[in-house]
Amino acid sequence: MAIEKSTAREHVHDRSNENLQDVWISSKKPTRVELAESMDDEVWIAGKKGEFCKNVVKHIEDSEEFICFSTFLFGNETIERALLDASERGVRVYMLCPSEKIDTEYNDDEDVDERVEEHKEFLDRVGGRVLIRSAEHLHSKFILIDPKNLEKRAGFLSTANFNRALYDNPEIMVRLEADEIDSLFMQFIHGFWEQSQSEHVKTEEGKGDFPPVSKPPQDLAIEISSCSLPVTVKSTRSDYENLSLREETLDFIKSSDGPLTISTYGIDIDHKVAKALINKAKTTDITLLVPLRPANSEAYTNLSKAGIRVLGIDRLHAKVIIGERDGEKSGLLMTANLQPKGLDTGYETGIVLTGDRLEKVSQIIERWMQSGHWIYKDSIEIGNATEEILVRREITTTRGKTQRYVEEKVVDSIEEELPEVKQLSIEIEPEPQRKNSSTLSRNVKYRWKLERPVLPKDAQRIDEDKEESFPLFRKGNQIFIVVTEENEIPKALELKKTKFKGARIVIQ
Amino acid sequence: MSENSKLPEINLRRTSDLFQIEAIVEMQRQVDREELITLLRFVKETLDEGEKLTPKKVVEDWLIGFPISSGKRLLRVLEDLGLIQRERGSRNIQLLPQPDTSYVLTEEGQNAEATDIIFMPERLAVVIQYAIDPLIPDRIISVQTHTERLKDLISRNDRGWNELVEYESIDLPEELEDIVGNEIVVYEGNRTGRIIIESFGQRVIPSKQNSTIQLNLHLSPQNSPRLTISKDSRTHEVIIDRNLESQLEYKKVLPSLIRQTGQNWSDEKEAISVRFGETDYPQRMSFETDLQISNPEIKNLEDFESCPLRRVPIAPRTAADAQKWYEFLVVEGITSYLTEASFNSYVEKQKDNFTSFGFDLENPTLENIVERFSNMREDDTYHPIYWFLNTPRDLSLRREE
Repeated sequence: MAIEKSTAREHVHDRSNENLQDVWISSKKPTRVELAESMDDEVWIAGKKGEFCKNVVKHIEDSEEFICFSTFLFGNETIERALLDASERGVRVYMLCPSEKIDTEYNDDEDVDERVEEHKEFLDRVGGRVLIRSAEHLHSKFILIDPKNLEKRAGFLSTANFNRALYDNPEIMVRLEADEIDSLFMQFIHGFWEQSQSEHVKTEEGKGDFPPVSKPPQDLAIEISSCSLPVTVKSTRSDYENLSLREETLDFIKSSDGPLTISTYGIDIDHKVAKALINKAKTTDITLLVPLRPANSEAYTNLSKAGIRVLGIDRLHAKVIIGERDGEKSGLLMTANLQPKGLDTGYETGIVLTGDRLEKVSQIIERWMQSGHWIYKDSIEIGNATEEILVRREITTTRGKTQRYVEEKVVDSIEEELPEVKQLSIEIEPEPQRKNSSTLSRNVKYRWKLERPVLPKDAQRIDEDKEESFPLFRKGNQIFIVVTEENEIPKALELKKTKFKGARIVIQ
Repeated sequence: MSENSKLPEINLRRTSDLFQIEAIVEMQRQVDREELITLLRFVKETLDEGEKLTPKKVVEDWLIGFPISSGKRLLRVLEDLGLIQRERGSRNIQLLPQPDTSYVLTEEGQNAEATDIIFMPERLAVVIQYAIDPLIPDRIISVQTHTERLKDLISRNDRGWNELVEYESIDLPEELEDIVGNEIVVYEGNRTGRIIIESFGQRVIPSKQNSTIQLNLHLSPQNSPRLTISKDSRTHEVIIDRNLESQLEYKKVLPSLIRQTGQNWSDEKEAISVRFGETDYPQRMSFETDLQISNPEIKNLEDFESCPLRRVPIAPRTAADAQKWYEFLVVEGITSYLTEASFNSYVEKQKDNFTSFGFDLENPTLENIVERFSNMREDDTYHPIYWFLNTPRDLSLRREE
């Protein structure tokens, strides 16, 4: 059979059995429903209306003595203005936060660089009007207003940093009870005098600097041992350590006698808490709400394999545990992630939720779950991905080394045009190469054009005085073996292999 | 004035011209003869015990085992130096000493025994350099024997021959008249140490000398005055004349010098009495000032080169000045966080700086300082003191009632 010099080809590739790992699936793209941001001025969620910010601003505006403020990152114009106005009125504002070095183990969101820059600019702006002390491990988020004033004191614990997270992220903030304010004030005092490493000063050039702090006055009353809140206070700065937040978390998981719902931004599979969850999952239903965060994927995989339902909520940052202890519903809200940095070292705060506050926080978690979430699958065949949307882990980087997830739709079939191929044999199958598409198909039909190699016009015959199986030509240093029928190709290849290595087989 | 170690040391200096003469002198110079001093002590003891001092006695009790001639020789040496003389009425006064020739101490001998200094008489040609400066009543700085100076007195003429420089013979300069017969100290030349010029003989001639000496007078509150002279990079300590000691008393000189600058020295406070507003920051912090004294003068001792007087104590002039100064120091000294208790003890400590001035001062209060710094803002930022005092009050567990 004569060989066609040019033919159109196609091939259907079945990917149904192809296994995808570390993926999130959802039948539709989850969207967060709008919830009331304030629940009786006792519990808040972050939201576009900024109800929590308004509440904080109101208290700042009413402050008379001093304000204690701790956050990992700051970037909120409204609260900043209120703090500066208070400072102008003679209300002292004290702040704890990291300054120069911001540890992205605490937060590796895509926009973290922008948030860090915003935070540093804030420090430069307010330093001197606000007394800022810093240390890398300061991660707790709270604000205390007039904490020594028994009549007017107020306090709020937040899972959110005091920046855009207060408007954008799934976050929870609660009003503190009087005894909680007292305890948190103790923690703040200890943080300020014993945990901080540097203090903002204005240099002679008017710039902000953070030289190391010296020891506190010897006769200063700094007492934290009677702090009743579960906290993490441990750093290289001080010999003192208090890991009661870790102990409370572990005890909560171990002693819970009902289903557990846990919301966290970060979780480390090697940490005691993750191991306790895996163990608890043998007997208890556990739901883990997490953000879609590649840094956590190893934990998601292992926890999922252990039977824990891992649900993804975009930008989730709230840290809450809800379960049952001694037959009663109980909760723990905290600023720490379930990681060594947060539970074994760091500066974090938790509060035990009961009564109304617990109910309200439970409702928030429930509504988040109902309003839409991703389901984590450590492994799934494309053929079984019946959902319309599938998110899968992408190894590319968008900023430095950070991984990210991309969304892809699952469809039955797609067609892809491949580049023209210059091949001798029709048996050679082109390797399927996925295009950068947001669609993932169970079947892929590839189409391409096959071009055959031909003898150059000015090639000279060189085998006239020899008895070879095929005509031989030369052009320059290149030898050509000429075939006319497709069934001649194997024999021509043999000749090339035995006598004319480097020769090219062409069609005449 | 107490021996206040905070009072400044005074270093005064001036340059004096050196004059030079050549002369034949009869002089005595101190010699180092320890064996003769020891013998003189023996002589004194012998005579004090009412015994006769004879050559025989010397070899019996002092130079034991030596022949009597040794005793004679030793006593002749003392006699030649004028330290002993034969006892009046001695039979052998005109003869060579006999074993029993007895001696008594001369006045020079008594002095030598008391001071351990023996002078050797000499007659020689010398070149003398002297300065006319009230700080050096002895005048004479250098005595060099003529033979060693001779080469300097010879010049070469046009034909290359050596010839003596001719000098005009003059009378003894008036300034040197009162040194004759007195013990003086010479610092340079080959006749250094204590000498007594008995007389100047013939050939007193001036010679050209364009040289100077540097006088450095150092006065301190704790130590005696110290005077040195320097010439050609050599420095000698000068024994200050007793008559000058009173004029060089530190407690007289310091106030006098300070008043020469127009400052108001207070003997009571041992400090310059100043108004708070006249002081600058370093002065307020240190209670000291530096002065530059133009041509400082000590009474009867002429003036010196302009000199600095460093770290002179200053003190507030009035109670109002002291109060302002106290408050200034309290504020300036707050460089770290202070609790109320540590502020109170800190304030008392600052007050100690003013105890010696004798003013009744009122302690600044923490409240007042905080108030002051609440309203004192630069670029809208609070002064560090605002935070140093407020923060420990706010961020401590002590609850305000």
